[in-house]
Amino acid sequence: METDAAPSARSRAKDTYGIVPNLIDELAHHNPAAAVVYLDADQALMEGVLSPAEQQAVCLYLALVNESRYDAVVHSRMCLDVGVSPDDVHALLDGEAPEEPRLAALVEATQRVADERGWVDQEGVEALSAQGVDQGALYEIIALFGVKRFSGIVDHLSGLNTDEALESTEERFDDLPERPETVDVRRFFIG
Amino acid sequence: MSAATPDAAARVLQSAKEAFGFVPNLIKEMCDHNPAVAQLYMAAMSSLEGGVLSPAEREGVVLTVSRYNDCHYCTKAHAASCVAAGVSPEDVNAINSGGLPGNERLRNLAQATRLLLDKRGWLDEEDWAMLRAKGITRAELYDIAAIAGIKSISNYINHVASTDVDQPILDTLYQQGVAGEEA
Repeated sequence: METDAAPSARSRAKDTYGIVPNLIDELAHHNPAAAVVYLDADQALMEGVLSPAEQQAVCLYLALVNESRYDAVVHSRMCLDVGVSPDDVHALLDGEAPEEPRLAALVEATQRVADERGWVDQEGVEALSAQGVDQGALYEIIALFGVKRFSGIVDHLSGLNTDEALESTEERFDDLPERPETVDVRRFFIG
Repeated sequence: MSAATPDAAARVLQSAKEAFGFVPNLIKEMCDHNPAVAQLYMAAMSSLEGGVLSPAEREGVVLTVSRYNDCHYCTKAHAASCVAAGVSPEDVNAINSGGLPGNERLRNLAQATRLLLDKRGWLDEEDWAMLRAKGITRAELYDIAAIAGIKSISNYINHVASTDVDQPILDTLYQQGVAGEEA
């Protein structure tokens, strides 16, 4: 049964996004505090150092890292809405670097965060900084990694349907991620 | 672009001081480079307190995620929070050494957390049956997913920054009799 906190989380989502995304609806139904965590994170990052286009390109790349179809549709649409070129959206969906140099640098940094589990050493920090990705941008990428890890897990646990408002976006792209036939277990330590 | 202002950083630092009694080096590190990330972390961790897990259960999951990510800082900070929330030092050390706590409920939550991270949420029918048998609900899995995401932020930033563990945390661990395993 839903708690009294569920309508409040949905209402906040509607005020923010214009709709209640299925991700938030699902979280609010079972655990409104988890929906609020997502909304808090999203709201805080609106004051971040990356532009909306930069954030969305990073999120779309992370949707592919997480193999989250739901997030891939959401962030493809949002990329287009905030000025990422359709070619770059396709490139990201195909796992390729975007043409736009700034987005390419940010995606490279995101790949390092994901591949190296955050262990970007001082040399790596300096190399990224030389490409224009300073430590503030790197920390924002890590924040987006965490937020998308959260939504990706929820997508996989619940099999979120594409939001109705985004069905045309889903039809537009034929290179969206699917659930893999076999799930590789990624364990980094014994225990 | 609408980057957070120095005022925003000051507000986050103040709220951290009120929450912890001191400003943890992690929050300082976030604020120094990107106050919005510090704000995200503080707000999200506060909202997690409204979730379905008890404080001890939540701290046990936070510690499990931090150990999974091998975070040298959060495995100490949340070892102290775990004990303060009622988790035994033995169970804290079990989680921090990659093992399983003796407390059955915490053991079930630690296993669920590692399963969720190992399979990134792609559970099969056998996994769901196992979790049901352990009394783990979907609502609890959503708490765990949220913790996995938010703690990955602090864990990974600590990897980049090699954040020094705060002396008040080390003092608390000493007083609690927790060894504080190195990650």
